[in-house]
Amino acid sequence: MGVRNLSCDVLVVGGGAAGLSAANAAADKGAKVLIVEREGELGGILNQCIHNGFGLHRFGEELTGPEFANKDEVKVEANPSIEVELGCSVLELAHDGDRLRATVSSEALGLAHVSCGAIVLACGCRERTRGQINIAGGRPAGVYTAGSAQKLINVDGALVGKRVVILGSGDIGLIMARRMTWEGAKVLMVCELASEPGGLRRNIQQCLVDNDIPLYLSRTVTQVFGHDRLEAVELADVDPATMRPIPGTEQRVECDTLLLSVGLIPENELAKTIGIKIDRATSGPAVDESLETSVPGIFVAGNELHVHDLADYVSEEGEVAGRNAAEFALGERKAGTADIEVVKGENVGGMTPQHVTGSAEGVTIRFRPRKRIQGAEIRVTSAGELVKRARRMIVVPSEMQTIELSADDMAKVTGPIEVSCTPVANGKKGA
Amino acid sequence: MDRVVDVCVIGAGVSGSATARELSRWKLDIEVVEAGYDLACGASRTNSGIVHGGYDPIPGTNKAKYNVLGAHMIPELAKEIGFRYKNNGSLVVAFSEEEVPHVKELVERGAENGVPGVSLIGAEELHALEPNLNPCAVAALKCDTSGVVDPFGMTVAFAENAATNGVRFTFKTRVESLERGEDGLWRLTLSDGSHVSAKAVVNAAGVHAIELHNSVSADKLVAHPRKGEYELLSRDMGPTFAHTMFQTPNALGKGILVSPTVEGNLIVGPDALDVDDPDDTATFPAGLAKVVEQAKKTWPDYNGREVIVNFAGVRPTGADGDFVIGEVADAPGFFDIAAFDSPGLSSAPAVAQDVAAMVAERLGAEPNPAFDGHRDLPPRFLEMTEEEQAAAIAADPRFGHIICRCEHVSEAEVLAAIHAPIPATTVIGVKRRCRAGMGRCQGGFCEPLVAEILCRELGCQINEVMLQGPGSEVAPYLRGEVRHGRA
Repeated sequence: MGVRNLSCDVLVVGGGAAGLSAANAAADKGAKVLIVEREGELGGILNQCIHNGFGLHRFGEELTGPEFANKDEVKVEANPSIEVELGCSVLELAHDGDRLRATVSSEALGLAHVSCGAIVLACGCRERTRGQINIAGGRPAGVYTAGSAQKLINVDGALVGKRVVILGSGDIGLIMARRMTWEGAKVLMVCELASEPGGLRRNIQQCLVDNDIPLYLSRTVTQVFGHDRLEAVELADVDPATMRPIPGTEQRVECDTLLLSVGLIPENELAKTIGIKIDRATSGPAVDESLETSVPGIFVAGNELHVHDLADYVSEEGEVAGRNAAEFALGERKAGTADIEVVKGENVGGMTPQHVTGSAEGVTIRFRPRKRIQGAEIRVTSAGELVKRARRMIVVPSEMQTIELSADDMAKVTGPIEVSCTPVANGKKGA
Repeated sequence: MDRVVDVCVIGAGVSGSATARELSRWKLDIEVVEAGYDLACGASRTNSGIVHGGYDPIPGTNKAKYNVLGAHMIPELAKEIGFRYKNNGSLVVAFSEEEVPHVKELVERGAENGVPGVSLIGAEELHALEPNLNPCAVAALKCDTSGVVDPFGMTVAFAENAATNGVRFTFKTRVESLERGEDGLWRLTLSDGSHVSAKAVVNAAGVHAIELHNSVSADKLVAHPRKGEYELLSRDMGPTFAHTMFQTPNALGKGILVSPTVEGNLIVGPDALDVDDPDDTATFPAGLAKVVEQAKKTWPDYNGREVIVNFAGVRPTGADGDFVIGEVADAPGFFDIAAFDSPGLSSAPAVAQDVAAMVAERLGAEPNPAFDGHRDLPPRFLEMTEEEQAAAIAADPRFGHIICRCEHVSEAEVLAAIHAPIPATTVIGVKRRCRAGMGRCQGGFCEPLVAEILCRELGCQINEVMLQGPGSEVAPYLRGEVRHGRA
């Protein structure tokens, strides 16, 4: 049997929050859509997020991860324009004349080439590992990324340990602190290298404070001990100026589990196969306001674009990418002619879009503040002129900020757009 | 269960496995006893994976003899028994004029040891070959015959071919004691309480070989185990250097090597720390920091980014510096492969050949006409052409199911590892055989999937799946309602 050939208007890579909403949005525009999902079911990482807190923005109700995913899954399954391939991985992307081609593999399809007019990449993200933060020590069992441990408990029904130290205050780590406590494990502490928590404020409260789990900022794990199973970890205080452990502050804590919640990285290995330009600040593809990447016809949404803290905004992005991909594939898209850079100003970390082409009516800018500010003003300027400003009671690095520029706002843009996020002048706080 | 065999090989690392395979060329009943849970649990796995040319050992030593012979055998063996080898060549770099005489000395030593393809190259040629090398490098020894291998894969290849030719492997079983009986048989007491009686014993116990030797001989050896720490970088960094880059050895030590691995990663290390416990393979923050610092001499741009894992190995170094090979004078029938540190990996095929011949001669063994020395390298989905991939999936649909997204490892490859002649029974065993979990995410996504497959194939519960040795359950406790491996 040779290589099979399939065809669609829009190929959506990944059937999680971003992919599902992208598929629905693309099909609503009249496109023939194929979703390729590597797992055996749709839903992506939401399937293992059995806690609630999803959907408040998008659906106005509090849902669990699987419930949140199900809202879009039901629509996908009912839509005759959307086909789904499960247990199917995309190996490579390539140009195919004036179309795009994905090489996919599954038990059911074998090896196949999918010819498509446009692609939405929605592969999500992966967790930073022990190796990447280079913790020294032996290589015992009991050291997991928080998401792996979450899958084992929530999907496979197995608990990784009873006496737990968590490194990193990212949201999955916080959720797992509560989850493991509820499973009867003793979560000794959460340590955070930075002087700011990495997760949402509501998760700090609900997962740690409500469960009497201490959070130690500016503290890290420097070594793990144990041969076959983890026996202890070595902690050390961290100098906030250098972000390095302070000699002499080491202490040994006996535990059988170390969970790592030390950052998420957009999964852009597939994007690299076709040479999509990656932004160093977000680690995701650089995009315009239509979420189109540097390769025409390839759009990206969700955690593959930049890591979000709320699934609701992942879905929202999926809709934008799906709609624009459909218009591109169906030849209905207004091509952008401008190339206006969006510049990170004061206190602005990773931000999207990286440039604006005029391909959409308005522009949704999302960014992470570099540091916490009580009473902040987000300012969008162009060539020194104010385009838009907005006030926030508080901004923190763990919470992504969004500011919408309307078509009227964009009319004021005459050059590169700069976004900054600074303390409110005159000591006025709040908005 | 007590048993009587012709030969008992102690240790299933590269030297024990290679010797077992060579022994299976004769009509002998052979058992390999291994303390670890899998093949190559010690120094055979945690090393640089370099096939040294043979210009480094002092002429006339066992190291010089076996290194040159072994390095010559490895390219052919790689095809014959299926392991990954790449002839990338090596450079020993002089970073100042003061270091040049030492490099010249190594070139001469290479000639004396009979190493082909060793020459001295100047700065211009050197920097043309390696643009990322420290600009202050002035000259280098260039060795065309050295290469890189997958040391674990090489051990697996020897062991599986041995097993196919009738050698039995017993894991998780330590030799507690051994003595030579009046009947001339060696009687080994094992940690599971059983006994093995053997006409001959091959001591290939790695970091424990010297203590084993000392338990049977009055001619005591002194062990000097030394730990070496490494950092392994992602495949994105593999092309930084084409050759294996050595620094010129000096009074402070042998320096840090930077080399592409046979899988296309980049490896940086090792340092050398004296250790008391030869089984302690933990890394230290200070040691790793020093490895990074010293590597900058070769690669000034190295900044510690793209590290995917750090690890350490303990070299089974002996105090006098040379390998101890052959029958022990006051212990007839007891054959040493001791003090087998670097270049042990490169030397193993030649040492195995010699030691097996000595054993066969001592036992008056007949050749084994049924011996089949060939083993195929298990197919890798990632390396197939699209037509081959399509054909593989048509023949076995599980090739189409990708388990490891980083390395594109299919379920069929995971199953092949689990059902191999020497089966992978743990998550790490699977990882080392087929690379599921070797990539960027280091098993973050595929480890639970591999655990599910192991569960299904071994017929156990999820909480019984081991990461590595006993006591290393991936997730030791069940939640109320447990979903078992898919039926």
